[in-house]
Amino acid sequence: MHLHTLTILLVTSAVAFALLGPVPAMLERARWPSREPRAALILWQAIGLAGGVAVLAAAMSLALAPLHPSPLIAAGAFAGNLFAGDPTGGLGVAHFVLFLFALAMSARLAGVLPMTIWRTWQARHRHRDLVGLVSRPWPASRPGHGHVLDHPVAAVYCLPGRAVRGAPRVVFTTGALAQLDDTELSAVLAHEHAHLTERHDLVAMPFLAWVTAFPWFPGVRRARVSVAMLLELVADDRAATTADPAALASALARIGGSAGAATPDGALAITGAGVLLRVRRLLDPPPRSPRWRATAYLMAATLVMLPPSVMLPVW
Amino acid sequence: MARLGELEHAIMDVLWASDSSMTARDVRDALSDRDLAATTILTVLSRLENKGLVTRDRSARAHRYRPTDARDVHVASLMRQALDSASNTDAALARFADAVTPEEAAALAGALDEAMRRRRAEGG
Repeated sequence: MHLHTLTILLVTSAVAFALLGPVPAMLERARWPSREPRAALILWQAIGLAGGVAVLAAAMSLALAPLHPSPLIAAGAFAGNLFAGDPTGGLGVAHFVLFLFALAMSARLAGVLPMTIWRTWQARHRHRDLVGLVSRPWPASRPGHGHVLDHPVAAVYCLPGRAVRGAPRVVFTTGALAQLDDTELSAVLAHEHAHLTERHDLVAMPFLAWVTAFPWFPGVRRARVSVAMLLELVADDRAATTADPAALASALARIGGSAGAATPDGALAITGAGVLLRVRRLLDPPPRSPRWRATAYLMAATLVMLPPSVMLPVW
Repeated sequence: MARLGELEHAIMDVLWASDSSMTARDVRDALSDRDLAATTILTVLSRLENKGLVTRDRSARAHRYRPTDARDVHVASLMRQALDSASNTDAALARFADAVTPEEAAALAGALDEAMRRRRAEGG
């Protein structure tokens, strides 16, 4: 095998392997993301992007290696052979099968994202429609505005959307409203509006699509869970700029605690560690870290550049 | 859009508040302050029927409408969607706080006391 092909293969497979396993595991355990959640989100996005590109690049360069040491030129030669009437594009059987495999992976990635967006959009639309029909009017004595569901379990959630086609909605159960005083209620509303304003649902979407497409990679599952958590931290931080952080903390503790009490068998989502961490973080905000922020951005930029740059024929 | 949704809400409220099924005329009388045309009521009722929220009885000349399910049933299904993190709708909405285990609830109770103490301290 040509040395150049070998280098590309080594780099792309190493990046792919690292980004699907050990790197997400390390980032998930790291403590600095709680200090710099926005930078950590950017890093997760870079990991997702670079990981996907590296896997495909590794498979494609290995498949096309017999045609030319440089993958881009090899791809051109492959296309030329196909047009010239060679059904396998000048590849042997083994390499052609690998090429088909890489092609199927790309198609899966490309197809799952729009499908996930469509499904989520439909589920949200149905849910929003029904909320509009069964909700009670927001109590005039309470601050802010939202939709009220008559239910004893304390729950608060938001339905993102654009104002044009189904405005975003914040939904409270009567159980949640009863638990919160006015200051806490304003803090919760500020948190939910941070999600809606910054469209955190769009940030989470690609990670959901990756889990749907490749559920067997632990790194992909870790990415999704961590991203969801970081989005909560970002919304907490934003809410804390306009609302009382201690009120947001007590609201979190009340709602998280009472929802747990309502389901003693723990049948619901058991990610309470997140709630506890958020409460403590709001009460004692960890110091910001410009150094970690800069490192995260640098790592993100390097990751995104790495797989494409080794593919270039200039080497 | 917004007006139609609001009208659907109002008509469902009337149907849920009624003990028996209603004709379009009954619904219009219940909403007499809105001065709605009978055709508007019929249009909205058939939209609600398409959504599965309303069941139509065609045996009489004037069709009678009633809610397919009680309001509680719909609320319960919304809550299931909202609280079930494994469902497809998980991505559709963002929960404020997930449920916790009893041990974590105890730790949360401690954190809550701390938060309340600080709020009192800051509030003066």
